Amino acid sequence: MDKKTLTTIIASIFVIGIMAAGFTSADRIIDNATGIYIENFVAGSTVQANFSYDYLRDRPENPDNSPLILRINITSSDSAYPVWRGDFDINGFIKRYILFGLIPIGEKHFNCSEQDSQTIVHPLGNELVSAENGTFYCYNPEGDLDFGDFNAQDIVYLNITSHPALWPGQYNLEAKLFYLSDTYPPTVNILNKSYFDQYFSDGSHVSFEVEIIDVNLHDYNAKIIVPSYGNISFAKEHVSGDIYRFFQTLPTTDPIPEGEYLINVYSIDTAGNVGEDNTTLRIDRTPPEIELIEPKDKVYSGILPIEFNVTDEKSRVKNVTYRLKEMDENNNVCPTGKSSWECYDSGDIPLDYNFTTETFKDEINTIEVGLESGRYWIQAEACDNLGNCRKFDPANEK
Amino acid sequence: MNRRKNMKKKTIAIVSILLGILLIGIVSAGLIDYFGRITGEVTVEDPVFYLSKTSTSVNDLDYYSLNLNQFDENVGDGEFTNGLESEWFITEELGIEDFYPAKYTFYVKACAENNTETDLIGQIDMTLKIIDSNGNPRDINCPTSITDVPTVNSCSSSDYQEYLPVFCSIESLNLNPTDRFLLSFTNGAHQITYYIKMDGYSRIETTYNG
Repeated sequence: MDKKTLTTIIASIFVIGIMAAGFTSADRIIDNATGIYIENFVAGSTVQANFSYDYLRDRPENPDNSPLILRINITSSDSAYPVWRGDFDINGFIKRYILFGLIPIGEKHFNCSEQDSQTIVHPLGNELVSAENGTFYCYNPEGDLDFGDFNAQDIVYLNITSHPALWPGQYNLEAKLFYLSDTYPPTVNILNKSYFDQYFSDGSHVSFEVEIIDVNLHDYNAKIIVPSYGNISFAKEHVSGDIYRFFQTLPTTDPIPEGEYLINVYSIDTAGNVGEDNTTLRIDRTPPEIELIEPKDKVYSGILPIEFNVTDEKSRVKNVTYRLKEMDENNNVCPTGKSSWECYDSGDIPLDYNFTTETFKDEINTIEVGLESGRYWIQAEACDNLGNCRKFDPANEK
Repeated sequence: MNRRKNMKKKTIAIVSILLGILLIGIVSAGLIDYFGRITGEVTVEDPVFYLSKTSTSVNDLDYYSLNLNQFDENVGDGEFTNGLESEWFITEELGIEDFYPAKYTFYVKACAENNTETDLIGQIDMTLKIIDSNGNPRDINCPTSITDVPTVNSCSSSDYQEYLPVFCSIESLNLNPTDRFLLSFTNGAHQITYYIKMDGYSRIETTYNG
C-alpha cells in the first residue's frame, strides 16, 4: 500500500475517532424540541414559560434511573445591565405524554437553584456544580424526573418570578438538558465479621453474607488473597434484597499455608464505581503441643497415672488419646495388629480434660486390667478442632 | 509483504490510541454533557404600582397599598383634606438594593368635594418617597402635582375624573431590601376633601430612564 493510501486510512481513522467523541453527543440530540415559549412580562411579576421535546427509546447515554437535570440560563441582551443573582426565581414541573402527546402519564415537580456553588444531591449520585448569575440547576432530588424508557413527549413548565427592579429590556432564555452520572460506589458491608475470629484449615467450609447496596449494581465477587500462592475465589449467590452469600471449601490437595490472609469483597456498578470491604481469614495448620507429665520414667504399682499437658493456642484441643504397649527385655514394643507375640496393647484410649489441673488425665488400675510386671511404652495423639493432629512418642522426644 | 505487515501494525496502534482517548473521556465524565438545548426570548416591561384599598402595615401603622403589577380588586376611596392630612399608599418591602434611573408617571382618578360655599379650585400634591422598616420616610426628590382640580358639592361615582398623567424622574436609587415606595397625597390649605379612587386606574407607571 502506498504512502498516500496509508495517510488516507490514518486520516479516516482520526476523523472516525473525533466523530465517535462527537457522535456520542449527537446521540443525545432530542427530537421535536419546541419553545421556549414565554410572554412578555412586567418586572416583579411571575410568568410561565414552557418548552417541549421528545424522549427516544434506548438512550445509551442514560442508564436506568439516571435523573434528568435542567439547566436554565437567563441573560440580558444589554451588557450594561446583566442579570444578577437573585433577579429571578424559578421552579416548575414536567408533564409527560405518550401516543403523540395525547395521553398524559405523569407530572413531576422540581426546584431550581441559582446558588453559586451547589451540590446536586440525588439517589444516583451527587455533582458539585457552579452556577453563574442567572443560571439555575433544576432537578427533583428523588431522581424521578425520568418517567421511563419509552417514547414520550415532555412539556416543561417554568414559573419564573422576577425582581421588581429588573432592568426592562430583552432577555434570552436557554434550557439545557443533562443527565447525572452515577458517582456513588456500591456500599459493601461484610456481615457478622466476628465469624472470622475463628481459624480455618484445609477442607474448612467458609461461608459468609455481605450486604451490597447500589441502584446500578453490575457485578460482585469475593476472594482470598494469598501471596505467592494465588487468589482463591468464592462461589456466590444472591440471598434476597441486598444480601449476598459467598462460600467456598478451602483446598486440601494444595492447602493454604498457615497465616492470615485478606478476604476482599469487591463490587462494581454499571458506572464503574467500586465498593469494597475486607476481613481477615486465619489459617491454622499447627497441631496441639503435647507434654508428657505422667508416667515418668519410674516404677509404678497398682495405679498407673496417665497425664498429658496438651495445648493449642489457636483452634483449641478437640481430643487426646493415649496408647500403652508392652515392651520385652529387648526393648521391643508390642506391634500394632496381629503378631505371634501375645503382648499388651491398650489401643487408643481417650483422655478426659481435668479442669483442676488443666491437663488431660487418666489412670489405669493395673490389677484390674491385668497388667503384668514389666516395661510399657506410652504414646499419645492430640488433635485440634480443625483436625490438626500431633503424635507423641517418647522415642521422638529424646 | 513486510511493508504491508508494518502498515497494519501502525494502523492498529493508531486506532488503539484513539479508542483509549475516547474511553478516558467517557470514564472521566461527571455531569454528562447536555443533550438538548432550547432557547427563547422575552421582553421585560417596567413595573406598575396600583393604588389599592388593601391595608399594609409598617411599624404597626396601617396604610393603603401600592400593588406591584396587578390590582388586587380591593376597590375603594382614599380620602384626605385641608392640607393637614395626607393619605399614604405603601408597597410591600421591595426586597431590592437598587432601582434603575426611571421616570415615574402618576395616573390619578379623583374627585374633589367642596365643603364651603365658596367656589374653589383644588390641587392634588403627590410625593413619591421611600419609607424604611421603622416607618421613617425619606425624600427622593419626586414631587408632582395635579392642578386645576374642579370641586363639587358632593362626590358621586360620576364626579370622578381621570386626570392627565404627571411625572417625575429620579436617578438610580440605593435601597435597603426592607424599604418600600411611599406615595403621599396632600393638598393646599383649602377646605376641600379629596377622594382618590382605587379601582385599577390610579397607578404609578415606571419607565426606564437610562
